[in-house]
Amino acid sequence: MKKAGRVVLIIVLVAVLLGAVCIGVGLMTGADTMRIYSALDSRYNIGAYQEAYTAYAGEVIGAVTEAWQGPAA
Amino acid sequence: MNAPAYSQAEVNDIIKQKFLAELGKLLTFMYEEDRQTALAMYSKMFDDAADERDLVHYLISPTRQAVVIARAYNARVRKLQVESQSREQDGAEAEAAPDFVLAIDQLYREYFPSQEQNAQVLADQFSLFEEAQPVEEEPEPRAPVSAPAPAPQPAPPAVQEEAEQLVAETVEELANPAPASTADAVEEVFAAANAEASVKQDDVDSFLEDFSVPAELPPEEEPYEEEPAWPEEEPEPLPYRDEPQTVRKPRVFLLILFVLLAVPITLAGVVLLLIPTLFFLALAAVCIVAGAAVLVAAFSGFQILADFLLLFGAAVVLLALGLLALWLFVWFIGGAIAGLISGVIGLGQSWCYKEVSA
Repeated sequence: MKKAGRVVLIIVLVAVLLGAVCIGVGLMTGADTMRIYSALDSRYNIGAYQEAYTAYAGEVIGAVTEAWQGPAA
Repeated sequence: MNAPAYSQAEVNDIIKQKFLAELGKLLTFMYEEDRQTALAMYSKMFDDAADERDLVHYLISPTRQAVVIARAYNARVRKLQVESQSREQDGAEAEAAPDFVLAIDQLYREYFPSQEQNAQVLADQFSLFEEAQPVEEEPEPRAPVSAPAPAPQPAPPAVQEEAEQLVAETVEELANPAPASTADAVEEVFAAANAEASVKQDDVDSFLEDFSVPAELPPEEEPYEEEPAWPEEEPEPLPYRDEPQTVRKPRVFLLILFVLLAVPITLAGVVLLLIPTLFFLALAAVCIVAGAAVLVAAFSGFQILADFLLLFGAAVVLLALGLLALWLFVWFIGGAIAGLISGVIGLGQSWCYKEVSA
């Protein structure tokens, strides 16, 4: 278990380092986050998911707030 | 002592058969061909002896002879000898005699010193065990005068025949033991041999003293197995670690109390540990799914290398985080929760059980 955990940790660190290097190189070579977002939005409809999750989170927060203020009132 | 109801020849034959039967049982560590060869040589020794009682006095006991053969017998070397001999079967020069044959032959020559001087007679005697060889003077002092090695495979027909006959006689002897009077006579001979053995002291005796394992034997076999040269002292018990035998007994009241307390506490702990466990499982699922989606998007929808690198880096980081979260999930399941349960059980065993001597 301990040895397996060490192996997993090494793999994770190497992958994170590699990802960080790729992100840094991409940003330095002119990657545009807005262009990427628009491309992903057109592909996966990220905006719709974001609006849905925002609305759901607002409902949950409102319900919790009501429940919290209800007994106090 | 009852008067023997059998003739001297019959008593001698029974002595020989009993000696060989006992020796045959002790030589089971040898290859079958070698065992039969050894038994045939001893049988021949009995046949050539003028007085078999005197020969038994000389040989002392089957156990002693088994030790003599065992000291001269190396099964691994013997196997190599047989294999090499079977390869060089045609036209090969005579192999050196096996050590156990030399040992028996030395006994033979010591017991029949007059026949050692007559090489022709000895060659005739040992022609039973091997093919006829010309009489030559061997440079090696222990080598038989005219007896090169009998090849165990294929065994000479004469040896096979005599060995089979010997085995048949042995089986018959064991199945139909001699009457009491004859057995008494035989035992008398062996007892006398043992009494004589108490005087002799050589390397075989010291070997028997070193490796003797006292064991209870059937009363009729005592004259064979008991070597008077052996120490008469009581067998010492085998050394063992002084660990007292203990049994675990539960303290019932404490055990019930512990169960009543430990079960709800353990369940609560498991539930508490399940929260981060499931959280890490969900996080792992989200990260892996998101990372895979970003990776697919990076390879499929972006033409600019900088954008591709950015997405590829993000996908790798997401997958790495997913792997980390998955490992934490596994650690919580197999390490934390299982450790909590086993720890509570171990605590209960140490608190609620006591060890008492059996």
